[in-house]
Amino acid sequence: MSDEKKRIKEDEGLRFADPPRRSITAGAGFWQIVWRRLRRDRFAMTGFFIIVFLLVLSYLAPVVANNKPIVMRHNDRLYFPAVVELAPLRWFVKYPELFTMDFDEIKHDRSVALVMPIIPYAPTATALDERFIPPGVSHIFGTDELGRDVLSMMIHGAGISLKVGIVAMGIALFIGLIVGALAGYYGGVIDIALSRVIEVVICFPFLFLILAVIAFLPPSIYNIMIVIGITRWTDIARYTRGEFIRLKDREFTEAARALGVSDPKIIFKHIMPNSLAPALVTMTFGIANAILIEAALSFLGLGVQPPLSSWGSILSGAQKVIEFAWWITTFPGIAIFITVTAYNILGEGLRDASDPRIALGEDG
Amino acid sequence: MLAYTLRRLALIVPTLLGITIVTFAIVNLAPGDPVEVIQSGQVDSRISRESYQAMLELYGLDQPLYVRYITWLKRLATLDFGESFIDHQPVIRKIGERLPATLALNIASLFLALVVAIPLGLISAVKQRSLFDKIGGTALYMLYSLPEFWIALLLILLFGVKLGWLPFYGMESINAHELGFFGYVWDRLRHMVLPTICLTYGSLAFLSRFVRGSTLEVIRQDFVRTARAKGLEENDIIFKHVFKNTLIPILTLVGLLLPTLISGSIILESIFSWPGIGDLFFDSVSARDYPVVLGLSFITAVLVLLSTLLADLLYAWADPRITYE
Amino acid sequence: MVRRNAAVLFAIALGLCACVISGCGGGGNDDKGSVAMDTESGGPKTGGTIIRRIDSECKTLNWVLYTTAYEYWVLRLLYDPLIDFDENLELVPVLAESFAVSEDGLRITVKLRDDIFWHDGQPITSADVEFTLNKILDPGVPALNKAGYFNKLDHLDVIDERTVVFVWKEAYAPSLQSVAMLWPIPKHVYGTGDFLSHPANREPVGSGPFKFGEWRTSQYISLVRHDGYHGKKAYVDRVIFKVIEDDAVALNALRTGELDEMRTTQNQWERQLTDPEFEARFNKYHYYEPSYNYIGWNCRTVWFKDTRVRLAMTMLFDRESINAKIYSGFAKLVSGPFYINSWAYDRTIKPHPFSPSRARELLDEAGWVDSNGNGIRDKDGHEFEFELVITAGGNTAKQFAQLLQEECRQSGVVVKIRQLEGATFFDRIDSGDFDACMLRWRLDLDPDVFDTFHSTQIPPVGLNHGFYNNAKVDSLLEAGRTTFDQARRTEIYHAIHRVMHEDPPYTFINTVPEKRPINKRIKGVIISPNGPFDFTPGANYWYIDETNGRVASEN
Repeated sequence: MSDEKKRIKEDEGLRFADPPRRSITAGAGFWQIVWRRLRRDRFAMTGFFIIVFLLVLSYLAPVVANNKPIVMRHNDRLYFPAVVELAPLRWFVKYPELFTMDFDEIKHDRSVALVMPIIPYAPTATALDERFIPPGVSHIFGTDELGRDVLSMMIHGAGISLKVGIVAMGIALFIGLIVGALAGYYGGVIDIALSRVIEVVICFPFLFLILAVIAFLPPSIYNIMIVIGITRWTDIARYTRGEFIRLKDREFTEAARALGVSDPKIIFKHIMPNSLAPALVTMTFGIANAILIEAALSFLGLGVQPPLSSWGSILSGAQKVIEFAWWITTFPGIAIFITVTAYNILGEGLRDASDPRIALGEDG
Repeated sequence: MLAYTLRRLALIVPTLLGITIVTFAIVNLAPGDPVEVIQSGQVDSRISRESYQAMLELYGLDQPLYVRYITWLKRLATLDFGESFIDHQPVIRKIGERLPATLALNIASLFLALVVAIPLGLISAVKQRSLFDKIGGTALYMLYSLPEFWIALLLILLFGVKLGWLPFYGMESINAHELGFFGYVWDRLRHMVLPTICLTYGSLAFLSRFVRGSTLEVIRQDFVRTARAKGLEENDIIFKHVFKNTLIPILTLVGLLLPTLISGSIILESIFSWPGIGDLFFDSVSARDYPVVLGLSFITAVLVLLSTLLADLLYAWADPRITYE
Repeated sequence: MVRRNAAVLFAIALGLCACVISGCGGGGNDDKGSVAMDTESGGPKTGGTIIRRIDSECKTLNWVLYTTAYEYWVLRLLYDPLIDFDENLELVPVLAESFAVSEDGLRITVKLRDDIFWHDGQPITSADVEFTLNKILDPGVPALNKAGYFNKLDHLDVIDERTVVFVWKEAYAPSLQSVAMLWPIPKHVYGTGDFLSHPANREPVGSGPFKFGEWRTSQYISLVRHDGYHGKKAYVDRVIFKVIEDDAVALNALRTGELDEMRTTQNQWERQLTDPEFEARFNKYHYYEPSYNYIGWNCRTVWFKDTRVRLAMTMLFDRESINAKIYSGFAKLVSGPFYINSWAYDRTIKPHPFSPSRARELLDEAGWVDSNGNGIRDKDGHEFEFELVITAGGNTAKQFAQLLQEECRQSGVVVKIRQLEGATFFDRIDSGDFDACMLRWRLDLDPDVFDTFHSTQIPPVGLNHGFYNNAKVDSLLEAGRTTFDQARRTEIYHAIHRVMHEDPPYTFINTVPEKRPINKRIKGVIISPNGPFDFTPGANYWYIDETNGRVASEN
């Protein structure tokens, strides 16, 4: 068998002729290597591109789905109401003269609304004459109880669902890795103290924290994300701690110490890359879980504030009408499924790509 | 190891204390009090300000926070969790009434999940990157992301209404007690089927992926290579050597899941009218029924601490290279 | 032809045998509810089980301590009142033999019957009445439901074993209603032991046509007919209240026959109950309970202290469309703070129309114009931007809020919607810490709304959360509760209605009917204007007649 084919076969399955076990060091080349290996993993890249696509779509939401025209003529001037809703424009450009405009009325007027977004419905535009319309030509995913277009709500809500996971678990990953690393590496009193802190945080009354945050802080989904983040880092911390305990007395660590490498460097450059595997798996599941937590909170009315919608809030509103309006749960459900799967596939790909037990250094 | 264990056990008390302080503080942070809640959800609420004050005093809610904490702590020392604000039943009794319902469901669900997830994970690991692995994984993620109430309603409509095979709410039938012993057990089991399925399907993804991950780690280790080089049967290798070693992380995981056994899913318990802890907890939170909330938190905290200790011990036992000094 | 007739005769013969065997009218303990077939048509038949639904668990079956409607329905079958409203909403004696109000309105004398007994056989006497009242007024007892009715009571005179006199501090028109709210509980049971955690709260000893059977926590409560009842005996053997929290699940249980009746949501009523099979098996009742939805404006805020602004906001809320499109016409708009079926409600006063143009005129008049060109109205440096708080978890308020928000935006007013969890929400409302709120009032049958609108009843004293202050309304409210003359009272409350129409404390939205399908096998259902339960005799004399062949299975 040619070398090329042998390498492919090795990549695909178990390796029987591994070189001796190596550890990896986080040098300048570590993440490049990981990225290169990840790129070859087509399955994982599918997940990656799906997420990128969704992120871009959610950013472009105001020009993709809106009842405001992209280009409109008013009082002999041209305006771009949909475009100026994009960040960062929306913080700088405003059209006060259009503030009270009834966009649902003018959107059919071709002489005023010159260019309309593909999906000519805003996610907050209620239309009492179009309640509970099943999916069809005029509304691709149908409408909900107030006549709002489901597809439009989903596109605008995508941003929230995607960000909830990333922000929350990003915070969790940050805190968890540091706490776990310190506890595992130093052991002794530090471990005892930090482990107790972990136990206290595990026992935090999550629901009450959310209630307090909602009551006292300005209503923003970011506050919720932060609360989720600061209560969900414990699993990551525990796994990381376990890995550090396992690895801190290995030969490569001793070697680094003998060479006089400083502690922080040992922790972050030598041990950490080898211990990411369980943390990454937890994190990818955590992202998916965060999306579902947001849905559950919306269910209890504690998520996004009306008139905004997230996938979770659409789902929760649909629960009571599911028997005759199946489309309101089905499409957000599918969207959540695709997102969750994409994150998890990507996460597993990342895990495989950063696993030191898979031979490194032979790729180009 | 013994010294370590004893030290950890001794640490439980101060940790518990810390947990109770934090919990007490956060729980009281949320605005509202039980009297207000009872009054406002009310058929007709016209109590005078004096009555309102009197009621606050009755519940001891007019005291400053630290006084209430000390009072609660003192009662706790005698394992007296106090009485619920809502119906004045002892908290212990309220929790005790509902704990078996939640435990039954959670244990059944855990059992079902392990029975399904472990083989799935094993096979996925052995056949890594095969079609089975990829499709199986994707299917499990799909299950994971399906909303609970959706699946619940679907199953109810199918098995409960259209086919009429299974009961779809409650823990037992009205005439359950007249069915004789076996009839009664059978009735209870039938009521458990739908809620258990709903509780389980979501956790299959994580469990099987976890098993897969830890199996992969074991497979890549030296002794497996050695066994293969020696020419042992693949099946033998998988089931005798690999599986035994993956049991340990799985056990560790189960150990960590111990505290979750007493927590119930609010959504599912509501849909199936299953009188469990989740329902109790949510009602108590909404009604600001502090004694019940604090009682539940305390029990959960104890379980968390014990299970963390258990997990740490199992971890050390599994990997002899690990020591805690 | 002959064969068919023979078959019919055979069936009848079988039926007669069944009747003989099971003993007509006996019923028996069979859980399927053997219904003895009466050979007469149309007479109420004894036996069987009625299964009703409650949405969530009862916390207590103590008449003084209960707080939710579900407990109320159960307690209604277990206990009897002294006096009660009948199906025409007139007061009639129940446990009382007679009752009378003195000339000056200060004394209400109630004479008990001499043949009334508790379920355990003890007689019901005035000692029980006194005991109950003392418990209600006891500051150590959270009788949140009842205490408010006796704020104006001076004391109770116990004349003898059968006679009591309620003595009031002043002539107080709703006092008869207050007496109707006192349902005696047994002193010999509750007199010993801790009242709040008394075992009788879970196993009540009552006085009504049904006695306590069994209580499986969060599953069901069952009552059985009390054969020793001092009044007309009930017909059915058992009434079971099943706890089914989820509406969709409950509707399915209704269809499979595991429930006989339930309260349905608007969507279910409109879309899921219209198939012929359902119509054949169920009677669909709807009725308006005393309640209404409203938007409360805080009259102390810079925007809503002006009557014109409040009027404008009312005209910006398209309630007619809501009624037509969300409720399919199945709700009534209200224009005042009274029960729509009450004599106090002036039907000639029509709600303000939806009129954005008129609203904008009013806002302009009141000085709210967009002076700084940002599209939002302002005045004296304040922008017209306010926060509307609603409870989390409910769909209706959310929908209304969004409709209002959109309409307001087009008139240069910014509405920020804030969803708050229950306890948090009520905390803010009760302390008057809000700009605007969306809520629902449950009313008494007596239209006295002093606590809600009098200027002295602001937080923390009373229920006037919005700090409404209208001197004319104040004096009318005071007059309305001190006169017993029905004609005069009608005049007064109609006047209040009119004043509030012009100076609205709230935007009155609508009142939504309760919608209740009841299985056709249940007969004897009387629907008062107030529904099938909340009067005497209420649901006490429902009976079962299976002749239209419903298939029942208890589960």
